Amino acid sequence: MSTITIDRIRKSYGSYTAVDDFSVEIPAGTVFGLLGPNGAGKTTTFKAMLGLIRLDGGSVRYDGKPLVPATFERIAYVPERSVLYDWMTVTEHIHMTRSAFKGFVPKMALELLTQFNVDPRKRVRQLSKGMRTATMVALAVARQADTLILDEPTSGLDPINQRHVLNLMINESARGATIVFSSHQIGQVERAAERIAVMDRGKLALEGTVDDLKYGRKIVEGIFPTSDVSLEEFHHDTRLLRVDRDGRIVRLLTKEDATAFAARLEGMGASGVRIVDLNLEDIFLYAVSPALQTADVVEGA
Amino acid sequence: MVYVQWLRVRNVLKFTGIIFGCIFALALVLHFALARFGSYDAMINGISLDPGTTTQHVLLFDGTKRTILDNAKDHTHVVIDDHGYAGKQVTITEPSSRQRATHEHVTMGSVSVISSRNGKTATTVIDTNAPTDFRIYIAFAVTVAFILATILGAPFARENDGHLEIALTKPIARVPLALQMMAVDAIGIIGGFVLAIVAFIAINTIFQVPHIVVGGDSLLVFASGMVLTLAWYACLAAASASLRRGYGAVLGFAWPVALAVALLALLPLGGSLLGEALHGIFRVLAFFDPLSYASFSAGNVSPDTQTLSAGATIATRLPYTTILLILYTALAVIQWRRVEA
Repeated sequence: MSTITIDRIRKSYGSYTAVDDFSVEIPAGTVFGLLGPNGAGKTTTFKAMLGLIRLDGGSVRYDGKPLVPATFERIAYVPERSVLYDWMTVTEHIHMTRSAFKGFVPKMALELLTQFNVDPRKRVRQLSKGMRTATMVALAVARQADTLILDEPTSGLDPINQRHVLNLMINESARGATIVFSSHQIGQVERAAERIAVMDRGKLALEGTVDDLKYGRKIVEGIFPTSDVSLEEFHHDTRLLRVDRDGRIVRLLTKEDATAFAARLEGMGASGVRIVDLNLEDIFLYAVSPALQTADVVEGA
Repeated sequence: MVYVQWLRVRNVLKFTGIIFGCIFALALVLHFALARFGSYDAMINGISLDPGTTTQHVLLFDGTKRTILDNAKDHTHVVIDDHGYAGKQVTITEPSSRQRATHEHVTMGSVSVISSRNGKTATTVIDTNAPTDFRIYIAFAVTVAFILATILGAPFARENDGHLEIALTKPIARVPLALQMMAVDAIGIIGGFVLAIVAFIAINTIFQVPHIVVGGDSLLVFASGMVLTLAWYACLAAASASLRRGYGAVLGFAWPVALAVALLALLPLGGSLLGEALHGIFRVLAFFDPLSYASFSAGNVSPDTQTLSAGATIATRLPYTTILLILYTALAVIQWRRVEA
């Protein structure tokens, strides 16, 4: 098991900053979900964790030690797109992995491939996108590594195999492995991850355990008769994380006293006031605010 | 660690073997299909079947079976010395229509034909056991190995093209991994080199068991051919090491460019200042062009045509090509060390 420390990493491609001062600590043995919209810097972060890119600054450490070639004996990686060799068969990929990693269990890989309905005799070019992803996941899991880094491991898979991959991740976690993964399927992340980090434009937008992030956070929503009601009184209330206005609808994101805020909205003339529990999707969407700016947004109100 | 390289090498050698197998089969078919039409055996059979021909068989003291065919009417006299595995020597003396004295010597593999005419008599001496210089086989093998080196010549670019996540997450540092990859390809190229020599000898044997003469410098020529081919491979690897795509163009254009540099370094480009300058540039470029060293001449090269690369002898060119091999290997590895996924 490895504790992964990502410390203020920075990476730019020309004038484009892919990752900007991103730090996070991933405790050993946890399932860690990395969320973010397209282009948020998730894949760059994974590549930084594996030394596949040269960083402009910062460092990544495994149990306090920098990444060295021997560390890869303990890390398995599944990239977001297929990196398998089209001209090779799946069986040859098994031989390739066995020749490189001591801990690889070919029998386990074959069993997993059977579960994914992948024929090992086939050449990779004959496999669908989902089957390629499944093959990469099977090869990674069969390595019995301490750390699994999975970039969109359910991409292209049908719902049955998506569930199968999630179960594999949970099983691997139960074995004690540290799992870091990204996915656009927030429901999957909510199901599997114990901790999450949300990236937005290369920066850390939010980080914590799923329970902590969800606990106590509620949306208080009300509909006003007009869209010009003043929200000034909420802007400096430290109990509110955010105030949104979308036409006549006002939403308050609060960590506490949701009932009191609901009463205040009713007192201001709002109708249909309700208190909604936040799910991970709401948390994610609030963290990556620019996509939601359909109305006045007052962050950190 | 380098399983993929082994697979690539295996596939290339398998393909090469299949091509040689096809050529061998074709040669076999040609041998049986054409033998009775144009060979000296057919000609001798024709003479022996003539009613006016007398045939005499003699066993010489050294085991040679001598057959003498004599046709007094046609003034034709044939002596066939069959040395068994050491081949045959056939001497045919017959009338000639041309009066002018001539002397011609043609060699094809181990078959040597000497034709001479003097007065009204023509003499043809066919020796099926003429010595064949081993360097001919090496030259053929180098050509084949150059092609294989070109096919395998972009080991790093192939990984850069969508497979770096596999290559660079192995528990081995990049430099030893890169050297291992190149070493596997080198083994494949040398394997192809040896395969080509064996195939050439086998194909030659279909027509006649070759009498190969291995000269004193054959080992040097062999080593020089191998190092030259590996230098070419390393040159291509260095030229493509940092590419993700488009390495096919590098491999495709490498031959014409390298040949052009080698030729332009040798050819004078006119007496003008520009011509002299270009010639000078190409002479320097040729020093870095492995194809410029592709000569098996053991003799001296005229100072007029000598380039930096085309040093006087193989012995002097070998160190140059070895330096190129090391230089290009280092360049390829240094570039690949810096590649990002």
